[in-house]
Amino acid sequence: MAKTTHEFRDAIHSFITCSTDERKVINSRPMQRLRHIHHLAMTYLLYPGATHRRFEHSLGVMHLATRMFDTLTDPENLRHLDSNVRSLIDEHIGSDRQKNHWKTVVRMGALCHDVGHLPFSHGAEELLPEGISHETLTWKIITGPHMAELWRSLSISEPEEIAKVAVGAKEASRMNPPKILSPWEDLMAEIVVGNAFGADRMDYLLRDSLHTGVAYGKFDVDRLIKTLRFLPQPPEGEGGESDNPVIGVELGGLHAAESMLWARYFMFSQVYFHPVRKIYDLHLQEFMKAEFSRGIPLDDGLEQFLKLTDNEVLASLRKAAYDPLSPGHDPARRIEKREHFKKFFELTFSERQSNPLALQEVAEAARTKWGKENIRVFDKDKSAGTVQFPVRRDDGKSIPAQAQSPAIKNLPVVTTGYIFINPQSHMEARKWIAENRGSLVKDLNQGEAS
Amino acid sequence: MISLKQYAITLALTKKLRENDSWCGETHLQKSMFFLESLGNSSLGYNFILYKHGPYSFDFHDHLDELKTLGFIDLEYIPPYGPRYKVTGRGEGLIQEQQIDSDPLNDMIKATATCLAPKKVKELEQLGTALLVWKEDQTAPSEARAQRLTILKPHITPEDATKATQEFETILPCFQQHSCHA
Repeated sequence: MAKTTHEFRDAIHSFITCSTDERKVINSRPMQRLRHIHHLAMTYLLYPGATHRRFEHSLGVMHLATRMFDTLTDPENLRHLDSNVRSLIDEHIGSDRQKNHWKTVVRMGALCHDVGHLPFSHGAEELLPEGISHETLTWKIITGPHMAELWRSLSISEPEEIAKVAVGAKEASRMNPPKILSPWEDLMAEIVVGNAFGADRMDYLLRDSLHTGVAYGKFDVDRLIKTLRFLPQPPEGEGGESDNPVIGVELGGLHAAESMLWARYFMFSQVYFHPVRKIYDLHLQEFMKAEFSRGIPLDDGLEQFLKLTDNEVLASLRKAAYDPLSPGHDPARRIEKREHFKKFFELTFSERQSNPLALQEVAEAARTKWGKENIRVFDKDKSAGTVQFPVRRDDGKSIPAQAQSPAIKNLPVVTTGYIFINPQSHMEARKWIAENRGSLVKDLNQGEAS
Repeated sequence: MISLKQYAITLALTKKLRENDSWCGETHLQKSMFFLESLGNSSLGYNFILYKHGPYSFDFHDHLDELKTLGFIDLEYIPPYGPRYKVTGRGEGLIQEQQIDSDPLNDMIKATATCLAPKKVKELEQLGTALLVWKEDQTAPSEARAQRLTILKPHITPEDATKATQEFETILPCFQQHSCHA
């Protein structure tokens, strides 16, 4: 008799299982394409082990989302909820048929959440036309002809349910026309791409940590998932109660939640915002702008797009690196021969607080001095300290995590701003910054930073 | 990129809401900013959608995060309640530096805070949705707008929808009186 359950060995989760119909989704063209898209773009030029792909990450997200769904919807774990908060849950998973339906939607949303990624993941996103993001493409692929038959096999009549869970409320609202998630769909999307405990985040932290060799990304994922609960949202003042549940954590899982949020902070500091990684991203963008001067092909039902992976881009890049006449020669050469621009200025957190525009002001001064073709800027802040979720205390009350945990309330913000320069002028630029930092970085309130 | 002026407008709104005894959680700020954006005749660049609890802007949510990162606002936690926003000393400095007191939008900020600060989140959801319905068709009669409100938000009863529509009509002239043309 043919097997009905299939297994994948995985470096993080040991075994990941799927049904025969789900395996057809995994074997589909949009999913198999992810075998050829690096999860961390060109980070492998800095952390040599970071060659993992979006394919195995997607399987991992499906696996974790399933475990989260099972814990959150376990009747034992719903008993504490008041009837008004529980009504939304009962309405959607009151029967086994409903529950199985939504479990499949969550699994498939998790599996397919990255199918719209461009070559080298986020690195090339700026090449997309205004209003189009990789989430837009994910939505189009999930709801388009490439996957329609697969959803029918899984008895899913509305592929938009999967797309909503895959991209989440924020990105769905940016579609044209905007797609609005119902409170239940929003809750299911939180399992997959949620800001606090999304399976996407959990898997990428663990997987990127393993492959980069940066151990700070690890946390107790088993304990965390076991203690996740649907909880009432803490009221916004007297009379500010909401009937919609959110995903929170039992008090016993708070340390696991803390460690995940700190892991995220460390991974952003050490890996995602590493200056060498960022300059390779910038050079890659320059190369791709030259390579795709007419834009990323999105017509023809995404046929061309689905043919495009890191492999095609890498082949062109290596060729351009040794061909001075190629339009993308300069950035390709810088990547291939490791002659990337070098960081000469990094904005400190207190400088950013003193003047949010400081980085741009210093960059402008540098462009004036060395010419804009010799300067590159990376500017990003990530407020890891503002993740909101409730904690269920032993007395049954749900309170904001920050009210219970100083470790979460005082989580530092990851904020980064770099200015890079052509390596020929690196030493000169460093000297310039050392001599002029006080006058270049102006404090909004005091004229100049001390 | 968001300008320092935009930061300062949000800070001034937060400050005025607190001065008028608003709880000043995210819902209070979201709905107040929706009124300011819709009736202030000065586009602040936030894209609002009809979300779970009425008009909501993910851009504005990110903007609030950014203000916290930069130390212009902070969050207070008083269990068992959710967080409430307050302007920090640094934020007060930016309001002054950007001269919001003499900005054409300042009267509108005051009017928004005065009208909306006493409201609970459910009232804000209903009023915000009433404004959104009014924006769809300003010529529609009250009854039709109340009906439309219950279609958009089925959990709002017809009685509450009628009440919210009428209340919106009551406060609208106050906003229109202070509406600027910056």
